[in-house]
Amino acid sequence: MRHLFRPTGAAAMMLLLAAISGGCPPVDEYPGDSNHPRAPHNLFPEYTSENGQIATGVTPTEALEQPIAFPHDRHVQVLGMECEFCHSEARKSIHAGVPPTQTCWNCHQHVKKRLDQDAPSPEIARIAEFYEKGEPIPWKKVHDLPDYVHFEHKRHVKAGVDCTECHGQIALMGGERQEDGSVEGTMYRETTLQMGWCLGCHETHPSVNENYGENADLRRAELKDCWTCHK
Amino acid sequence: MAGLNRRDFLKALGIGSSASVMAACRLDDNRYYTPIEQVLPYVVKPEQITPGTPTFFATSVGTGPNAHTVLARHRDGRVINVGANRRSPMAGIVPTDALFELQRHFSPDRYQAPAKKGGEATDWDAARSELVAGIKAAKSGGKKVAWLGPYASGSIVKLLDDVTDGNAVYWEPLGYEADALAAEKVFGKRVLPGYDLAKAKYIVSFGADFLSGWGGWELANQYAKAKDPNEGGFVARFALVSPYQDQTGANADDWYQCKPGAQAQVALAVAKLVAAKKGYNGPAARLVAAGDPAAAAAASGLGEGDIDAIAAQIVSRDSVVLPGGASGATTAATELAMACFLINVVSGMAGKTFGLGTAYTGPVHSYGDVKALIDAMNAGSIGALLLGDVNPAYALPADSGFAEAVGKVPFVASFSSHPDETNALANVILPVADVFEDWGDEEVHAGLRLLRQPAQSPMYGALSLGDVLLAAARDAGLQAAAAAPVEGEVEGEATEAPAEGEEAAPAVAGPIGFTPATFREYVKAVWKAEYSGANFDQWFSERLADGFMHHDTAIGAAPISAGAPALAGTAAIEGEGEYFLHAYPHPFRKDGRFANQPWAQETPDPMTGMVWDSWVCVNPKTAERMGWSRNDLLELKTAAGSIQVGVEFYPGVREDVLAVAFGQGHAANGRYANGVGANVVSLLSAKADSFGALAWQQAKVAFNKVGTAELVTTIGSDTDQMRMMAPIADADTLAKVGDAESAHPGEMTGIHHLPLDARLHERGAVDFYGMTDHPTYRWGMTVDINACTGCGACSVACYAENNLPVVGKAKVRDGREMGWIRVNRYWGYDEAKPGLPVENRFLPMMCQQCAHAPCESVCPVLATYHTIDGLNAMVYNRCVGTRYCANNCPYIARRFNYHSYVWPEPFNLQLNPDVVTRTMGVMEKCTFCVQRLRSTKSAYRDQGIDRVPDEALEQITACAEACPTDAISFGNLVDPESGVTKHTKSGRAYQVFAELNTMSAVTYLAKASYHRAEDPHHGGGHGEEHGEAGGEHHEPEAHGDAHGGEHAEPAPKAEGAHHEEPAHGADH
Repeated sequence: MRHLFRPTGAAAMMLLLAAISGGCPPVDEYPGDSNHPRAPHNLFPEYTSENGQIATGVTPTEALEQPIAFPHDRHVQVLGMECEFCHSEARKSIHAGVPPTQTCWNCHQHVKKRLDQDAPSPEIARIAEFYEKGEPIPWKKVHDLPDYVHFEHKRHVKAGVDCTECHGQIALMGGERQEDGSVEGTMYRETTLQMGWCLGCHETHPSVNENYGENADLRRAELKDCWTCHK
Repeated sequence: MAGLNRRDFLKALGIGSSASVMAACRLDDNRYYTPIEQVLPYVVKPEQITPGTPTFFATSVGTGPNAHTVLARHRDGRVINVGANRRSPMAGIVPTDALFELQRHFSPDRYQAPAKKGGEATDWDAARSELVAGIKAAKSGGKKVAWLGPYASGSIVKLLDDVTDGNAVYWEPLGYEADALAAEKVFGKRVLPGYDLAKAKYIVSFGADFLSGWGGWELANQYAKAKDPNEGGFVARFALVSPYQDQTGANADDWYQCKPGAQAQVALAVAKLVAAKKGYNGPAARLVAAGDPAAAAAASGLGEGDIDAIAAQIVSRDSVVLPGGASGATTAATELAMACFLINVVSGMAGKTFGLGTAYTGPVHSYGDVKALIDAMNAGSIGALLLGDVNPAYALPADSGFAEAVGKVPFVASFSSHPDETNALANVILPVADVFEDWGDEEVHAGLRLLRQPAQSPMYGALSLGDVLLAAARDAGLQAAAAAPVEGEVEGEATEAPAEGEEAAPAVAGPIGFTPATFREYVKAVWKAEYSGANFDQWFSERLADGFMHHDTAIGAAPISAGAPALAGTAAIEGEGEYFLHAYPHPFRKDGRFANQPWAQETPDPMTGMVWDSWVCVNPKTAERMGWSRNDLLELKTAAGSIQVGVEFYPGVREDVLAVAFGQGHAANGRYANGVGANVVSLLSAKADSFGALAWQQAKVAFNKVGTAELVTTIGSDTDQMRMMAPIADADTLAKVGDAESAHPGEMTGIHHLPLDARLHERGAVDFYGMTDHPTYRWGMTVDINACTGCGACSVACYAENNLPVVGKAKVRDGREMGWIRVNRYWGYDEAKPGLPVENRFLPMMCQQCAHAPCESVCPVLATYHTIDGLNAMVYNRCVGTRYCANNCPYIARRFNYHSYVWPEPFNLQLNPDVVTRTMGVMEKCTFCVQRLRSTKSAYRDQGIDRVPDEALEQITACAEACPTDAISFGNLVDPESGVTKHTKSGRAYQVFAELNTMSAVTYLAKASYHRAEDPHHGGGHGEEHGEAGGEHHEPEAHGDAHGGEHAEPAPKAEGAHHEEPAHGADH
């Protein structure tokens, strides 16, 4: 709740609605046409990914526990790798592309330990484990837009928007597995990814002027159109 | 609440509701957040795939004569849609069959593993060993292995013929057996002759449904070309000789209501008349000598003058005659096809619109061949029966004895990937990979071959039919014949020698045998054996990328075989009573193969708007005589059985005919088909004509009313209520018989109303709202009513592209269907012959993307608004569901989600990731496929091009891409050179409800009809002389009535009259 709105006079409205809605309404039976499934007839449906509803809201800002304690900082700062070395679709597609395990394995079949340690890294061993099983690494999404938003990485990257403008200082984000097995600090979200935040750039970002010159105003008008991003 | 602005109010609304749900559902976490989703990368990314970007695989859908090349749209591991393959020489369209195949591919009823008899699941290894054991046992017992499957061509036929030693029967219900048998008799080869409708000025059909897939979807495209008046063309005239107008027949300019059973006699009489008029003395003259116009007229109920008129038209112009299809398959089915072929020969059209050079030469077996197989099964000479994806237990009349005969075969294997009535008879079911998962090839004709390649990895680990057969043949120790029998292979005498000598090569199955490890290798080996150039691998991969191999092939001559039998041309449907049963193939469900696809059930029937049901089409006069009303439940009875169906009034059927569609009434075909409607086959008995073609039209029918049916239709009106929604342009001024083509200016007359916005702009009128500024694009669409045949491909394609939910019969009855395009059907009549619908029109109606949209001004939350590109946008997550917009839409284009519909797995895999699924309480409507516009604009920006060129836009929407007749065009109305802008300036252009000043972005082009009285008015902008005539009209509100005919045009509404006068002055 704290992510979406601050208590204002609107809270009264909220409480009123909460009172009206009451408990979960019963599931409608739809006699005679059970072939055509529908979600339970909730007037206020529950938003989860499991029931096929539109996901909305925002992801938490704290770091999620990831299957591998992947340290962006060591790859970027110590090794000097570019983002697009691994996220190779960022310029080509709507997704930046979380690298296939093969990409990790290309290097880590040779690099088995951290530069600052002598023992083989258990985290790198996990890559081998996933790779050999042929299973994808089940990363958790940190930067997750709602399903009704159409976002193209390639448009933003090609326009000259820097990765950090949306993703924050990922180069500084590390990742250490704690003694209890949990992972801390792998990666977290620094920006809100909410519509107002998107529109802020769509209205003022200098790249529009640079790229469109005298047509910049027209492009800005397009960029503010709902159907530029909403689908 | 003071200071609470609108935005905060809405925010509070959203938060409040979700919070209350969380609390009510006892979720502990009081926070409101997006569930944490996973992102699963590839382990090893395939080179062709870019996550988030579609990859297109050229492949082919449909088999045998119905094969068509398409592009399968692959996205993130699965096929999500089917697109047009515009590189190919075939029409760049999406057959509805391809879309139904796509939904079938993801059907929740699809077998997930092989099964034994009784349905017990087993694994592939066990099923395959059972298959090998079955084949081995048959062979060691000296018995035959037989195949019964659908039409097929190319490599799989060679393989199947090898596996079965030539005991393979390729047969489909409602298929082409009569045509193949007729060609065998007349031309000496069992082929399906090629047609070129585009070159014809007069098209006669004896019932073939060539506008819904008969003879391949290519024919529908050619038909539209023949009918196209856009480029100053000659509008071909289409005559139907049949007792029933199906969706194809409803497009006819002339309808000759032939009595069932007399089609062959009429065709033969026409052939004789044509031969006489042409002075034809060739070898076919002897064959048609028995033609007797007087007897044919008596038997058919047509006048002798009608038969003479058909012959006269055929003689006077380039013509083509199409046979009867299943609708003409009486007990003289083969004779009808022979007579039709002979008309084309004696009229001199062989080599122009008709010929064997582009004939389909794959195996086409008849019911006679199936019957021989049934007899062999009964005699015990079949040791193993392999069943392809064909359903004879459902589609064959019960007295064919198919089911009993199968019971006598020791081993029966079915290779169908979906449950059906026939599978229940099999010992083992091997659900092989389907058309989107397998390799293969098709031979459309001598100069055109299609390739099929997997567009995704098989679901549930299904194996390829070819792979299974190759392995089984090796394991069972089968020996391939040295030279496989080649069914109906043409030596290509009528065609020029092909560049690379492909089809001159002999059958190559012998040397290939069963050695290739996979069917992919097998297909390659077949192609390699016929390839003479260098670097085969590269050539083959180029062909794979294209999806086809093509060299120009002439339509070829049609030489009459020396032994061709003369036609007798007499047959009648016997039986008690005076009413005939007419059973016709349904444009969507065909012979029932797509009955379990929800899209095929929920897309309204093109002619009646019916969903999820069977019905009987009854002429209104018959109904009046019998005292029936719509929705009465009739029991239809023949000697073979009975069914119960509801009555639908239908002017396009003879008064003594009751018409019922095939394809419903399944017992074991899956959750969507079972128990829906009735199977008309249960009224038929296994009667064949003297050549062995099954007679689908064979019975008279008795009936009695037994109750009330619950038919549900989406068509609200049989006419446009004189609101000029589908006006008529006069084709006769354009295309008179005998006129030189060059004499036609290409402009149609008879349209009295130009788009109102054009007239407003011409006179610089100031609009209350002002015209919205469209600096770059104004997306617009034109729909050519003259080309639209009502096939429904646009509607189905929209379901596939835009994640439209299927709601079921009960919800459609409540008016809650979700289709974004409906195709309105308007019956139209000749003034001289009331009751004879020959001027029918189909009007695809979708959101008109109005510039002055009535919906926008009533939305309280600005969820719908006009975009800078001229779209009427709908922002789903802003919509609060007041439904004011739908109430205010004059086009009824908006659809409301009364529920949150869910897609049973794995249907959800087909969902387009570029389109969100909508939830309960949200309004939705056609978006002009904004997701495609967005990604195309983005793709051009990638190349540094800011404005998308017209050719990339013309068929960008799913409906325009699918349309088999290219009736729908799309483009930028701001660009004066774009195709749509030019269309809007056509003399046929009009907008629906232009008088409401909605300034819609959809322009229609009026249908050209031969049934208008000569109209003195040209173009638009007249009106002065009719301006005050409204008093005579009984509907003063209505606008000009194109089909009233007496020019008693009502007074235009105030602003119409006001605007018209200056426009008139400007025109002259």
